[in-house]
Amino acid sequence: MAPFAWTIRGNVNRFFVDAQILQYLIVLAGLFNLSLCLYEDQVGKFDWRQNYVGKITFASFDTVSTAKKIIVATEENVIAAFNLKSGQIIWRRVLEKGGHIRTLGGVADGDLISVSGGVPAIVRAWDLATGHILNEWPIAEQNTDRIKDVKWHIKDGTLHHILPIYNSGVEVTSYDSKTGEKLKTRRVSAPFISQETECVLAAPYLACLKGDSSLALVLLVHLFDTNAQPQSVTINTIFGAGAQGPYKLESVLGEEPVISINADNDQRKRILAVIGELPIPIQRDIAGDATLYVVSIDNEKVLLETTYKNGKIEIAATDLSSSAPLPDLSVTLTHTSLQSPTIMASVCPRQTKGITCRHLLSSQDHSISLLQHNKLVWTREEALASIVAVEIIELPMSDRDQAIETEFDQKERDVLSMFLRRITSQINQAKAFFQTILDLGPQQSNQRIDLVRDKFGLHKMIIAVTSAGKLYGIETRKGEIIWQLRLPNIRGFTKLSNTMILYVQRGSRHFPHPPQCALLAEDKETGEGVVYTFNPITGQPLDGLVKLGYKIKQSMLLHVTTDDFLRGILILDARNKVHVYPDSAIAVAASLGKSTYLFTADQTTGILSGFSLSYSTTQELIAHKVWELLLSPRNQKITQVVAKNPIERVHSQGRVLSDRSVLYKYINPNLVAVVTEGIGHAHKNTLNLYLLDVVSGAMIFSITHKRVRGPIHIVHSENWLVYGYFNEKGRRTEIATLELYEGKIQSNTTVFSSLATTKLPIVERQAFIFPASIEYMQETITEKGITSKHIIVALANGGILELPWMMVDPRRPTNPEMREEGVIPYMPEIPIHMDAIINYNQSVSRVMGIHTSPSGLESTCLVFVHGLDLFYTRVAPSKTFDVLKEDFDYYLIVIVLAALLISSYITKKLASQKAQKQAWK
Amino acid sequence: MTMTANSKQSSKRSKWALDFAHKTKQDKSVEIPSPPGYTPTGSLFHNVEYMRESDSNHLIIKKSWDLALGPLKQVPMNLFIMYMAGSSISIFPIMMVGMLIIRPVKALFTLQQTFKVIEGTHAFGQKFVYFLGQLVNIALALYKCQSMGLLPTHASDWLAFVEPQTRVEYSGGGFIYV
Amino acid sequence: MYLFYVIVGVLFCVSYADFVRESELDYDGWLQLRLWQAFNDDPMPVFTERGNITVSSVRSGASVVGQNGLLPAQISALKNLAEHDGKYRLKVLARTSSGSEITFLSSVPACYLLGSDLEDIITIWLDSAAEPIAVSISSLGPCILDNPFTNMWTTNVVVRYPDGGPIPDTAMYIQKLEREREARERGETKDNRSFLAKYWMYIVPALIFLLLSSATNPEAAAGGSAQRQ
Repeated sequence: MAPFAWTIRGNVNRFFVDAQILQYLIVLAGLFNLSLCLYEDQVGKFDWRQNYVGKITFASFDTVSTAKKIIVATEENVIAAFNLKSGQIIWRRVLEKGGHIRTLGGVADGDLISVSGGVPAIVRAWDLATGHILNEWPIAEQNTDRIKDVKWHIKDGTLHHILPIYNSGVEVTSYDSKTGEKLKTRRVSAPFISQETECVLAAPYLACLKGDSSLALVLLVHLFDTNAQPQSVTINTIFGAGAQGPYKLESVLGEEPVISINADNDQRKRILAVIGELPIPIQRDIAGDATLYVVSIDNEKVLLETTYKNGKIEIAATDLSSSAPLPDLSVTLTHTSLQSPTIMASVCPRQTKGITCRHLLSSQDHSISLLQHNKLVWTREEALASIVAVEIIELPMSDRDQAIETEFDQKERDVLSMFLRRITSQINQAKAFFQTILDLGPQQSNQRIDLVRDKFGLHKMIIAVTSAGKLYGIETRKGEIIWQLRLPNIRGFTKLSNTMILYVQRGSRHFPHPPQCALLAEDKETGEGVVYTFNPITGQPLDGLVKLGYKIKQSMLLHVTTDDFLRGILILDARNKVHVYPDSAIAVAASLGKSTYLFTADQTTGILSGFSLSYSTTQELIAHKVWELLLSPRNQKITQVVAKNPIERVHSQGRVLSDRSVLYKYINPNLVAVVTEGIGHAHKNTLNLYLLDVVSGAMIFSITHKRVRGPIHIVHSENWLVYGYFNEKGRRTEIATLELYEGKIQSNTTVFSSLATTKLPIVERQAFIFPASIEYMQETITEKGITSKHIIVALANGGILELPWMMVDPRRPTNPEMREEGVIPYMPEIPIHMDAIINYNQSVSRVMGIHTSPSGLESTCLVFVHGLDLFYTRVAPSKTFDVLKEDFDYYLIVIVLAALLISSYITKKLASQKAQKQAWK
Repeated sequence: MTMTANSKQSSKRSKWALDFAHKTKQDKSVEIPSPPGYTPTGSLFHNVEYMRESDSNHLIIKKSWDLALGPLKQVPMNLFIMYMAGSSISIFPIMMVGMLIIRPVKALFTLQQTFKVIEGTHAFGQKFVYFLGQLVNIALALYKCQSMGLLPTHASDWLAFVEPQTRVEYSGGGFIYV
Repeated sequence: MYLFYVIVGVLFCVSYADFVRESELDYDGWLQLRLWQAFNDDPMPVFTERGNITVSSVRSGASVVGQNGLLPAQISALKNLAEHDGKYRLKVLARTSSGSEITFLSSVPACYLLGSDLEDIITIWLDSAAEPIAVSISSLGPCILDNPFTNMWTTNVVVRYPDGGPIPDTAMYIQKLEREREARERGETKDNRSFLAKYWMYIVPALIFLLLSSATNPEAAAGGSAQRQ
């Protein structure tokens, strides 16, 4: 009886599920959905990570340790060690954000000391082999206002803090670099130092330039000898007569006290070396753009002059004192990845074969290379640590598919010619097939064979634009750099914190037209706008660099293409005149004038203006202002203006309520979120968020958070906004969400016009505690918008969290009775599941941005995280509902099907035999 | 058949009764009784035939009224099933509700076949009543579906077919670059 | 001579329940708006005076609107503008009680004004410091090119200020947890009924269903056998 009862109960439980239980199950299923973790064997299968360090500021060869390596400190406030042979990172320590490493030293003595920050300066001692921190201590700065004049010098385990004091002398305070113990303070007399004096450190001397005419003096103060008098050398003794100012003093890199003086508008320079105790000017002109380095070889001092002309690098070595050229050590080479390099560190040990020099070069494009005599050993593309713009582009079709495309792309529709074409193309296909079989076919395409679109559109190309003006094409499967190119004379837009704008004008789907990307930037010299168009797959320039001749104020991509499928770029110049690039798109732009609006937001004045193009003609595009409003800069500062992703599609137009009615979403594609932070005593620590319709200029909604502070990270998508901030009162990070609804009826079911919609939406809101610090947020995007949305959150601890939007749904009910389908009851804290960290143990540092892109599969979204590290993966927010699982058992299903088929045939036969027998009875 | 035979037996009592006691000499002239089951006269046969006809007609009507009223008689049963099925969406209630709907619909489709044998003055009325009864059953089943929320009567049921609004205006912009 | 129609004393009190609930406005003050309008169908607007609005208290939203009616020439200009799908532009100079003067520009398709017989809504958005940040004109429409019935403006003035931001509702959640815990404690002591008592509502229908199906089967079998006879 007992087992029977048990089975009954089991069946009853299974089949007669109460509605309540069903809802719980849905919720539970939703929670299990979160666990999108990888299996161990999937590690690195869909994702890759690349580590970078940034542009190097200090470097030195570690020749004392057993494992030879290169120690660098970078602009990104990173200290790292590279493998000498491969250039791989042995260890990397990412220091505090926004800090600067002031000096790095002590490598020659077997320990590594770094000084970073200002008030107070933080001195750290590092273990060379492992990069572990050994000691850390702060130095309180006495004169905080002169922080930029402070110089640091590390020598023999002592750290010297050097501060010139006006009209008096130089104060040198020495500390034990290991313990932080203050050893002594001394003052070297140098009464000539004033506010205008330019001083550089050429240890053990402080070299200062006094005066600006031909009577100018270079004064050398010995820092560690209080009795010594400053030694002076006149400019005339260095240059002889006839040198023109202004002069510029520079310390020559290397261990020796050598300084260089530029003259004649940086046309030429000469050096002043301190040999023995005496400053000796070298009477030889050096090109003004040459970079210098002094390396000592067997107690001989060798000057290395690096010049770069027309792609050729020349490192000329001369004996420092005699100026005798040393051809054995001089190098001339040409390499594409070296552009205007500077020797950051150099070492020339004597080996059995003779002297081989190793130079660590830092190029203008931020790349780091190791040069061993005249051979480039490795190069690191450190520009990728400062990506400013990203696009992810589909790869083109394979040659065979393209041939089919061309076949059907013909204009004429004559039966005979079509038939002929069919025959010829099939012959070609057959030929190609046999060629591939026999493995003798010539590769017709100039592109790599694997760079073609795959079945599911998962293999794509990442176009990354870096602040160094270097562009990269990175394929997504392995993260391999396919192409790179540098635009030397451009820079990012100054007011946009040096970012550049990248547009995809034409995708890869319009064969035979090549895909086209356009980069908008500023000219380095004039500050005027430039457009650079290129093929994103090959990196080949299309129109090349076009100088626009005006400053770009704002730009947008037109939503309609020209006849050759090219989307024009509308550019608003600084005088509010509108241009379109390319010029051939002007007709399209003019025809779209009535429906095209452009808005600008000025961070300094707080003015937001909207422009309409409705008066444009095919001859001239005219933008006229249709609205203007002012977020007074006295009260607030605009920190972010966030629009929706223009390629976003929303599948579901409403939300089903518990009473089965529909709450329609307010999906306004022209809605923009403007975030401001309060300024001044009264409004400090307030955060304002305004929702603005940029077509009509109408404010839709505004909200104020008090006692919170930034940085604010905001995601704006569909009909919702999610933003994270730091709550000062609660001392915690919070995430607030807003959701906009039109109401239970849609005012217009077919079209959305911002001008016709005057009814304000219903705004649902909720806030959650987020138990981690946020670096960046971005939402996932898929092709049709059917898949539910997740938010990709970069955490400060290096994790990338995939947070279902359902978790931050503002309609999560606090009251358990009012439950809707698929809505989790409210909990004030959002739990962070370790399973939802999509980069498992591949931590990424200093995330600057996350780019999401739809794949060919509706379920799958591609995620590219950039910052100091690059990380790429793919996520499936609603799980991969449109593909079979990786471990799907094909054999089993085939066997089962076959067995069923066979057995059905056999039984049929048997049944008919039986029937026959019965009939005979 | 059995019923008609029984009724015949009751009406013609003498048919199976054989009187052997009264067999005398004077009766010799009288013919020996017919063997059992033999009826010499045709008129009797006629009578029986008529009787049988009217009787069966009556029965057919009765029977067909039974048939016609069948669906209506099912209503209380269906109500009970509906009550017992509950309102949760799980396999048994769904099966029950499915049966509730499918049975009357099937019956309606086979209405002509069901009433093929029935002719006569009442046929139309019977058909109509039968039809009505099935309609009542369907209505009940639909009501059940409605109460279980299986009918697409709400806006939310059609939400998947709502097309996204096409946008009239296009906009772009952001922070100024210079 | 021009005829000036002056509408004075159109008083609109705007008070929203949710503003009262979570008003973030710490200050109260007044606002004076001077309005200029442009009907010309040209990129450069030519502004003419329209009137002024005085909001005596930004917190209550009480306002007085005084503005001229439209002249026939202006109406025909508006019609012309509407025919060319143009926009009626409104420039607003706002003077606040704190003494700052801010200019706003706003526009509305001219046909909406004609369609609504010159009825418009002027929305003044304030920031948390009660400074105006946006003044925008809108009209319900519909978009019609007919002459309006009247040449007087019917202006609704709406003053809006920011809502307070949401804060995580921890107190409510803790209460809920408490309640649930209590309910569980109570539930655990109560629910010790027998198996049948708990699940009778499932078992009985199943039994009935079984009975029914077995009851219908013999009947059908009987009918079948009868027909065979």
